[in-house]
Formats: sequence, C-alpha cells, structure tokens
Amino acid sequence: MNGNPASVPKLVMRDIDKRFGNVHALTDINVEVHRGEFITIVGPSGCGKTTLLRIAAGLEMPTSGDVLLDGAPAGGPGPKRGMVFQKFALFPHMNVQQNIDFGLELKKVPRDKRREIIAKYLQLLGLESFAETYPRQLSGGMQQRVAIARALVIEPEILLMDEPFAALDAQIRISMQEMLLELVRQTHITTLFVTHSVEEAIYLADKVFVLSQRPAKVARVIEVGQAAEWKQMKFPEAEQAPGFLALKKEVWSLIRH
Amino acid sequence: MLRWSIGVGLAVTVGITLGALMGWYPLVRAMAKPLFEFYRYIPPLAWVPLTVLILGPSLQAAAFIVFVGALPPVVINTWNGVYQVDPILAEAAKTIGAGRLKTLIRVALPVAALSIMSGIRTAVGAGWASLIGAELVGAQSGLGFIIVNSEEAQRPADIVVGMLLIGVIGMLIDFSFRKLSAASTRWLGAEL
Repeated sequence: MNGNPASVPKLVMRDIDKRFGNVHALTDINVEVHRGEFITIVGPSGCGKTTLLRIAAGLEMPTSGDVLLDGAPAGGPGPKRGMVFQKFALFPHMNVQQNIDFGLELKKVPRDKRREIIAKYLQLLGLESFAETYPRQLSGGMQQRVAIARALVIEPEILLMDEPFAALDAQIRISMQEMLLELVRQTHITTLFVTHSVEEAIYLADKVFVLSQRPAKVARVIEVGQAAEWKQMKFPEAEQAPGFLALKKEVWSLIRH
Repeated sequence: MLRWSIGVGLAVTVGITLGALMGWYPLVRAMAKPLFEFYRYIPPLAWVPLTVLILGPSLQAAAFIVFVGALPPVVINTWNGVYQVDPILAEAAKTIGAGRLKTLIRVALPVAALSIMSGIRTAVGAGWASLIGAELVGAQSGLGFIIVNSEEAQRPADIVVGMLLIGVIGMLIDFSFRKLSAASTRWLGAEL
C-alpha cells in the first residue's frame, strides 16, 4: 500500500448517495483525502455531515457509492480508520490509561511496548497527570483529548472526527483546535473532520468541502493550504486575517443557499 | 446451605452467560426469549415432582430447584443491562479493532455491572425461597422438612419457630449480600 503514496488517495468516497426511507440525505458526493491532508467538511445543520463521516468510518452503509481506503474497498469499521465522536464515547469503567491501552491490547502490541506508547500519547495530549483518572471525573475537553489519544494510539491510516469540539464551550474549543493543529504537525496524521462551524472548518483545513442543504451535495471545494497566513497565528488574530474573513464570507454564502 | 450455594452459584454463572448473549446478539434473543418467557412462568415448586422423580430426594435435586428459582432475575437483569449499553460505546470499540464478543466481555458487561448485581441480589432471595419450598415437598432434612414434620406431629409451636428461622436467615442472607454488593457498587460507582 505504500508503493505509490502520492497518486493513491488515503480515502476516497465515490458517488455517495444515502437515503433513510423517504429522506434523501446525501447525493452525488465525492471526497478524496490524500496522505497527510487535513480535510474539513462543513455544512448547514442537519445536512447529513455526520452521516457522511459515519459512512467514511464504515459505521453506516451508503445507499449507493463506494468508500475506498488506500484504493481498496474499505468495508466495515476497524482500526485502520480512527474515529472521534462528538460525545467522546469513552469506556466509563476504564481509566484514561486503560481507555488508551485497549486498542493496543487488541492490536496485540507487547505489554512493555504498550507502556511506552501510552506514555508518549499521554504526553502528546497533555494528559500525563490524568493516567489513573476515570472519564466521568474529567472535563469535556479532557475527555475529548483521551478520545483523540485512544484513536491515534493504534496508528490508523486516517483519523475521522465527527464535530469533536461541538460539545465544548467556546474557550476550550479554541484551545482544542490549536492543540489539534499542533498534533497534526507532529504526527502528520491524515484527517477528515466534520463540523458545522465555518471558522473551525477554515482554521483547521488544508481543504474545505462545503456541503449544501439536504439532499447534501458538495457545493464547493476550497483549497486553503498550509501557506495560509493564519496557520501560524493563534486566536483571536487568526480569525481577523483578511484571507480568513474572505473565506468565511464565501463559505457562509454557500451554506445559506 | 450447600444446596443453596450450589444452586445460586450455578444460576449466576448460567444466568449471566445466557443474559449477556440474549442482550447482545439479536439472533440469540429471538431464539431464547420465547422459551425463557415460557419457563419464567413455571413456578420453581412445579419443578419439584419431576426433579425428585429423576434425581431422587438428593442434594442435586435441591440445588436444582434453587437454580430454577434463582435463574430468571439474573438472566433478566443481565440482558437488560447489556441491552441498554449505549450503542456508541460498541461503535467506539469497533473502530479500535474490537470484535462483537470482545466488546461484550470487555465493555458491555462491565458497564452493565450495576444492573447485574441487583439481579444477583434478587436471585439470592429467590433461591432461598425456592429451597424452602423444595424442602417442604421433597426433602428428608432442612428447615422446610422440619415444618412439614411438625405439622404431622401436630406441633404448631415448632412450625412457627421454623417459619421465623426461615425469615431471619433469609434476611441475614440478603443483608450480608447487600453489604457485599454495596461495597462493590461503591467500587464500580467510582468508575461509572
């Protein structure tokens, strides 16, 4: 699979169409995510963004269309596609360390190696002092850090994130976004990130896919690129950069229609 | 007491296994539920004649009657507990590489532990009641047997003493089990 990384996209969603009974949620959706890219999908509430991501994860089957991982049919959910849920979905009976460790254990990584890897991810996500803490004792932001660590630790081919910061309050949300960018820089993980927040979509992305109202189509694909001026900025300056404001206006006008 | 322990122990083991499978696998549920609902409405005492006929008035027979009486609450509570585990936890487990059975054992059962504990507590009492019932009709010893014996001997005082003892021991069993389960609940509660 590593033979020709440049030409074969990590993840391809081809001609995705999804109906729930009479509701036509998604139609004619094509998304490609290349190695190392950070793609965000933004769209109006209820347009089926989460459904699209669940299809990408294999948790939901499209009515028609294909999902390919490294060029091969992706099939059901598995450890090649890490998933971070809006509601964290941590295992309540396991502490932070155990939550992170479970995937490694399933992957049959030797015990002493596991300890090493866990320590690395605890440190990467600023969770060192919470190793023995149980999820319900943690704030939302901390819980989501654990969930990100749990997904990353098994080194998936791609990280799928379903509005991961939507349940957090504004300040935490911003610090989580900054943390995530930093994490992506360090790990070069390929990411597909769904959000209803236009600012979040622009701030994080190399490329933004804007979805329309239901039945959702890809209204536009906006290249942002690592060169964007605000990529090196923090909040609130990043949001005020002229390029950022122009993109924000563009995305809003697409979502409103 | 041995009769009771064996019966309850078996009921807990079989009940958790059966309840977990019924709660987790729709196919098992579809097959086992009608049978189980049918079985649930046969009172433990109705099993006594057949059991004594086959096993004789033995330890096995008494333990079996206890088992029959103690099984339903364990099955029902395990099944409900496992069934009600948030599906998102199962999805999360899938995306990190856990199979369905692994998820049941490592995620669903621990998350359902509180419900299972309360099922076991009910089973402990139900097992005790069935044991006495069984002794009333088909045993050569035990409190139930003493009561029946006293009836034949026309000694109402002994009957009352026997009944009081049954109640007191039942309460003691329940009390000690409650202490035990409270301790484990505190432990679980700290996590859940």
